[in-house]
Order: sequence, then C-alpha cells, then structure tokens
Amino acid sequence: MNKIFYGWFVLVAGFFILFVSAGARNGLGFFVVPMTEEFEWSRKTISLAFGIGWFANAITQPFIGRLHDRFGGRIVISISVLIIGISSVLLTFTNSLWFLIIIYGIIISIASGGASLVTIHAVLARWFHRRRGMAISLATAGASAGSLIIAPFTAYVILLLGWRITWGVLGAMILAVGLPMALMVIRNNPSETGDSPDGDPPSEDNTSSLSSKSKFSDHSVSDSWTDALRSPQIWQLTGAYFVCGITTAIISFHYVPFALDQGFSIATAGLAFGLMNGLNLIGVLSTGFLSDKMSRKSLLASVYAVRALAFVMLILAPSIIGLWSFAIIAGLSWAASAHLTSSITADIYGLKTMGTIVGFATLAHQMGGAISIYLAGLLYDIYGSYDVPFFISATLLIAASVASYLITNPKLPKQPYTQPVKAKLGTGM
Amino acid sequence: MMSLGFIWLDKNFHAHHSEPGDPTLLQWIKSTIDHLFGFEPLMVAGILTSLIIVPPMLSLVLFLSLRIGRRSSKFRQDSTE
Repeated sequence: MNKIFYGWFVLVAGFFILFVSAGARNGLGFFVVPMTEEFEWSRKTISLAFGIGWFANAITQPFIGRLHDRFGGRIVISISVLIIGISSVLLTFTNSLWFLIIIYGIIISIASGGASLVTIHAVLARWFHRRRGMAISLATAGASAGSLIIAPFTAYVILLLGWRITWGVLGAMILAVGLPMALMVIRNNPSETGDSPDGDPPSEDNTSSLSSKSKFSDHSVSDSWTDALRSPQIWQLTGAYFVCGITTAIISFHYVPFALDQGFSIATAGLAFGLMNGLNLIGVLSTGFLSDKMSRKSLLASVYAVRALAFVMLILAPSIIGLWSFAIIAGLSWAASAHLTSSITADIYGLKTMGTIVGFATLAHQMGGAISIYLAGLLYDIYGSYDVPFFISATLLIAASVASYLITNPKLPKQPYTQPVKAKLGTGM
Repeated sequence: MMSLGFIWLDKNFHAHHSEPGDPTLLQWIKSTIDHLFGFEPLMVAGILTSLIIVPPMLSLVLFLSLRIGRRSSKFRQDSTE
C-alpha cells in the first residue's frame, strides 16, 4: 500500500480544530437572550464580556503567534484547545458578569488565538509548499463550515437543555474532537515524521522545505520578526488586511440594518447574508486552488478589487439589485483574504516567524474592524445613510488592492530555509 | 438608529476570525431551519450532533488504524530482517 503523506492528516486535523473552535465561538450569539433574561442583564452588559473577549483575542494574536514560532504548533494548539474546552464547561457555573468576563472575555478569548487561523495556517505552511494555497484554504473552510453547522446546533441544544448545559456540551465537544486531533495528529513539521513538504521525496542537500519543483524556490526567511517589520511588504500586507477588517466588520454589523433601512424584511436581509456566508466557502476554496497556479499577490489584489466592486454596487445599484449583487460578489471575496495573506507571508518571510507576523496582521485586521463599526455608526448618524461609509470602504479596498499588487520580493537577508531531517525515516503513514 | 459611544458592544458580528454572530440573525436562521424542515428540535439537534461528531471521529479512527497497521507491518519487516 502506498504511504499516505502525513500532511493530509495534519490538514484534516486543522480543518476539524477550526471547525469546532470557530464554530462554537460563532454560536455565542444564541446565549445572549437566555443569559440576559436569567441574570436580568442588559444587552450592553453582556456585550461588555464579548467586547473584552474580542479585544483580548485581537491584542494577544502576535504573542500567541510568537509562542507558536518558539514552541511549535502542536503544543500551543493542544493547550489552547484544552483551555477552551475546560473553560467552556466551567461557564456552566456562571453566576455573575465577572465570572463571564474572566472565563469567556479573558481566558477563552486568549486561548482561542491558539486554536485559530494564525496557528493552523502556520503549521500547514510547513507541511505544504507547492500546494500551500490549497491546504491553507481547505483548513480555513473548516471555520466557515463550523460556523454554519455549530451555530444552529447551539440554538437547538439551548432550546432542549438550557444555556448552562449547552456550555458544557460545547466544551465536551471541543475536548472530544479538537484535543485528540491536536495531540495525536498535529506535528510541527514534516521532519518529525520523516516526510518532506508536499510528500515529495527527501532531497539530498537537507534543504527539504525547498523542493526544487517549488515555484517558491527564491524563498527567503526572516530570522526575527523585527527584521520583517523593517520591510515594506509586511506593511503592505498588514495595511491591506486592516482594510479587510474594516470592510468585513462593517458588513457583518451594518448589512442587516442597512437592508432593513432600505425597506427589506429581516427574512430577505438574513437570506442575503446567509447566501454571502455560503458563497464564502466557494470563494475560499476556489482562491485557494487558484493561488497554487497563479500569482498570490495578484489574486489577493483581485479579491480586494472584487470586494470594492461589491461596495460600489451597494451604493449605485437600485436597492434590490444592489442588495443581492453585493451578497454574491462580496460573498465570493469574503474570507479569501485570510488564507492568501497567510500564504503570501510564508512565501515572503519564510516559516520561522510566520506565526508572529500573521498574528500581527490579524491584530491589525481586528482593530480595523473595531474602529470601522464605531465610525460607520457615527457616519450614519451624521449623514442619515450608509453611502459615505460604503464609499470610504470601496476607496480603501481599491487602495488595498493596489498595495497588494505592488508587493515585491523582500530586501531581507536571504538564506535557504533548512529543516533538520531526522534519522528515523518512515514513521509517517 | 445608531448611537455614539460603545455601539459596537451592542451586538456581535461574524467577520472571518470567528467572532460571535448577531443574535437576531442567528435566531432567524434557527426559525428558517424550523420552517424549512419542520423537524422536532430533538431530531435537528441529533442530526447536527452527528454532523459535528461523526466525520472527525471517523477521521481519527482511520488515522489510528493506518498508524497501527503501519507499525505492525514495520515490526514484521524488522523481525524478518
């Protein structure tokens, strides 16, 4: 029987870890009503815990990424999944707002950064070089699929068993699915199983991560993330990802209110939003496969340009056409930027500091989201419509598209990325 | 409609880093599932549970069985040598 490349198992593990961790986090909205009713909190009060959680998650991403770079993905992801699972079970005993803030707002939110796109992408980038775009996009699709399935699951379990037991069920599910995947399947890099990236035969010069067949043979690395900060490419990528955060957050938060404002029912708005989320799976997977065949920076530039076009449609097209065309066009570009940003980071800066650099970009993304939600509301109050924030979004997206297209090879010191090939070959499958 | 201050704390959203979903929208999704399929909540929960648990468990079983098979064949190979 032919040996199955171990990287496929790591990819499957990454998919399911993101599936449960991202999915469980996305279903949190269902807890708002029952918890506020039981404790007689206002929406704003419970949102404080979620808001703190969002900031804690954003701010700690570069540090979690650094931990990944230093100790490897397996240990960071395993500990994170363990903490998320146990803490979710502990939320069964929630008795005050402070308990929720500490357990969810701080502990779970920080740990979520360890079982996130940042760490999973960084692990997969080591296993896949020629098929990196495809592998990272497939794992990213796990987060989207988890959100689609686990969010409604959360609602039904709350309906059947109440919110307290539902926390326990989600925690048990994360532990049952995520922990074995992280502990038993995830390996930090191919040398641990005697494999080479993409399952290629090991090269003789020990520069195994640089397959001669790879189109990224001019693969430079940054020994330190501070080196990366001195290059323009990281600012182009991070700046564009900041704009990505701005535009996805505006839509996530203001699309449904915008649709209601235009006279559509919540059903129509929800259907359009649901279509957008469904199409993002197609967008993620298609751009992932394409990114192994064509220039990733051009693809990223196209993703931002397409999203800019969606905002232009929202401003210029008649209401019903604008609403649906936005849902279709924006849906296809919705989550495609995340895996492309990770892949390009790996291409430019190598794998040694990838976790820290992608964590840094994610911090910018989340901060962009926080600012934009507030500013879009402010501009709505001033102008009485969303035209101005949507116009600003389109303009920023065009700038992000140009910045992405202009990304060049870094001026960092170049050296081949070498991975020590262990003597114990053949331990993989 | 929108107020100043910490308006963003008032709701939650789903970007692509798995932030919590908007409760109103999530409630609508649940109502739509109810309307479309007309199943009892217990049945829907059961279907969704199997969708969440079965694929990763099957993957793990496949992984473990391949690993055990690989180890035993390696052991047999070593013994014959």
